Amino acid sequence: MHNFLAILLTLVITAITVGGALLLSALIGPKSKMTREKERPFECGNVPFEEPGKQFPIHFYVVAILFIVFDIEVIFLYPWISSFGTVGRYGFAGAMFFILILTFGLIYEWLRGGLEWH
Amino acid sequence: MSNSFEINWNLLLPEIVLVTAALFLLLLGVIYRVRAGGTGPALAGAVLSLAGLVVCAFMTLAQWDTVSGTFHGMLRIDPFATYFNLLFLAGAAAGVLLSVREAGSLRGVAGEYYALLVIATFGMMVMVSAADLLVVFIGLETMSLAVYILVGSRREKAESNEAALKYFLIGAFASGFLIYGIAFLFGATGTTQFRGLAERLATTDGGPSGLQLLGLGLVLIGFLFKVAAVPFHMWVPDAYEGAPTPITAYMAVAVKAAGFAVLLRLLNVGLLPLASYWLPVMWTLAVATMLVGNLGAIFQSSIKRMLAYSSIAHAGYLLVALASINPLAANPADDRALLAVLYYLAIYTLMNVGAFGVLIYMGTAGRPMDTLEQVRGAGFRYPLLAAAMAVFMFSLSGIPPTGGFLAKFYVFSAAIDRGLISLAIIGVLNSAVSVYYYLRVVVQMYMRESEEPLPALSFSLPVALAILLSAWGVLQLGILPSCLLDAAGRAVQFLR
Repeated sequence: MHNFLAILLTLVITAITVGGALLLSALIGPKSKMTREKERPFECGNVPFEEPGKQFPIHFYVVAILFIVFDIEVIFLYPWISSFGTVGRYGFAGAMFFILILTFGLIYEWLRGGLEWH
Repeated sequence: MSNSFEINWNLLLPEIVLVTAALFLLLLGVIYRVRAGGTGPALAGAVLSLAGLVVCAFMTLAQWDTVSGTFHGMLRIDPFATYFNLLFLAGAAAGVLLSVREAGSLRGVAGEYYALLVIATFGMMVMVSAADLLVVFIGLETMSLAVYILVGSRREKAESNEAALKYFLIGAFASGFLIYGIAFLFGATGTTQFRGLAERLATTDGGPSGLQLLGLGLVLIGFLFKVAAVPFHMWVPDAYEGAPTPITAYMAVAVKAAGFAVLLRLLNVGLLPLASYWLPVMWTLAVATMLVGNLGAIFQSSIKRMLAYSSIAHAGYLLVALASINPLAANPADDRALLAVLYYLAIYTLMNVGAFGVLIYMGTAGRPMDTLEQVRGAGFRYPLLAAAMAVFMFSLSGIPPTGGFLAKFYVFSAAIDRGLISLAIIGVLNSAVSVYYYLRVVVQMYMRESEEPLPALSFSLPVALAILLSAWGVLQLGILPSCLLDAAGRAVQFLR
């Protein structure tokens, strides 16, 4: 069972952190009224419910996708760096190959005009 | 553990070739479009993707005798994987050939179109070579995401967008079921590897636990969505009708074959100890799928939609074979049900590529071929095309001397071998029903006059080549099936 102790600890610490923050802000924070803006579900800066047919910037999503690509790249590079000594030359070649594939994606997006902000 | 990073990359050469081709296709699309424009990029894309697929096919063929694992047993290259890899590559090559005429009108996304086709094929190859549920999932998602986009590749058409959205939502839902089931199986057994799964499931005392059965059920749902078995078939008619016709052909043959290939490997390796639980499920779903597919196809006036329902019905016949698997067979090569599935899928690929190819050829830019009325009189106006269409319709309905007859013969005789007489009878009756809607196309072509004169068709070498090769294959393998059966026998020998 001790295998799952770490998971249990994570859950407990998460609950304490989140619960504590909520409790503290409820106790000592200024009381504010619920507004229409506040009751709306959070949707990454977008208005979640609205009339269809409105214009929205597709460009925003193209840039966001580019961000995700490099975000994921960094996530994969951290374990590579931290085990750089053990994985050696083979790991280096693997990481370079991975970056090469991502570079193809970057070149593609660049040529298609994904990086130009109008 | 000093060499724990050693991976046999040679086994992955075909896949590496495909991915490289896809990356260059992507770049070719943008670079070439900036310079040239017009239909040039589309043609260059078709040539490059065909070259990649052919090179990959030769490398796959060279692996025919290989039985080996790599990536620490996550991938397994054996004749079973090689057989299906060749089938996917054939399906993809057919998809490229059928696309050449359409891709010119893709308004500047031809490079991406072919790149996605190649990437989807790569995903299928990973799926069928996988020896681990998580690798299966990665392959499945690689394939699915690419196909979702391909379905919606006619961006100016509302029905193409609608089809893509429906397919994506339902497919994502199915992937959710699959990964949920994998999680349950992992929780119940502690492994996601097929071999390990079989060992742990076989040694569970007092029969399988509820957790294991829940995992089995959810995983099956995930794959049955992909092969379009009833009751998970709702997306098929709309997705097939809205997609560009070459992609419909590709989905009907390659995506379905990939789903059945993974099901075969999973059921025969990982989930074999639970056979007494999944065999009745396959029996029931086979009956339901055959009935819904065949009865649905009768009422269709659009040929594309009819072929969509027909693909559901054929999934039903294939499920009959899955229900007839003998889990106790000492040598899987003696199990006629397994042979029947492999033979059936190869013939099914040829028949569908051909039938969709004829539809593409008969359509012109201003007049896409769709309804039954439109083929009236085609037998006199386009004698060769109509004759080819007749061959494919005869084969789909299972009339000798075509491959479709032998495929159904092997499936139903496998069912009778296992004593599933009632299932075989239901299957044969369904097959008789299907004759009505397949031969209706032939009747329209040869026994009805068209109201307006049919237009002259422009010659298209790639499409003609695809039709010719499929017609030849359907007849050749219907009369002399032994070479394909030998290959299938060798493929299943290493399955368990």
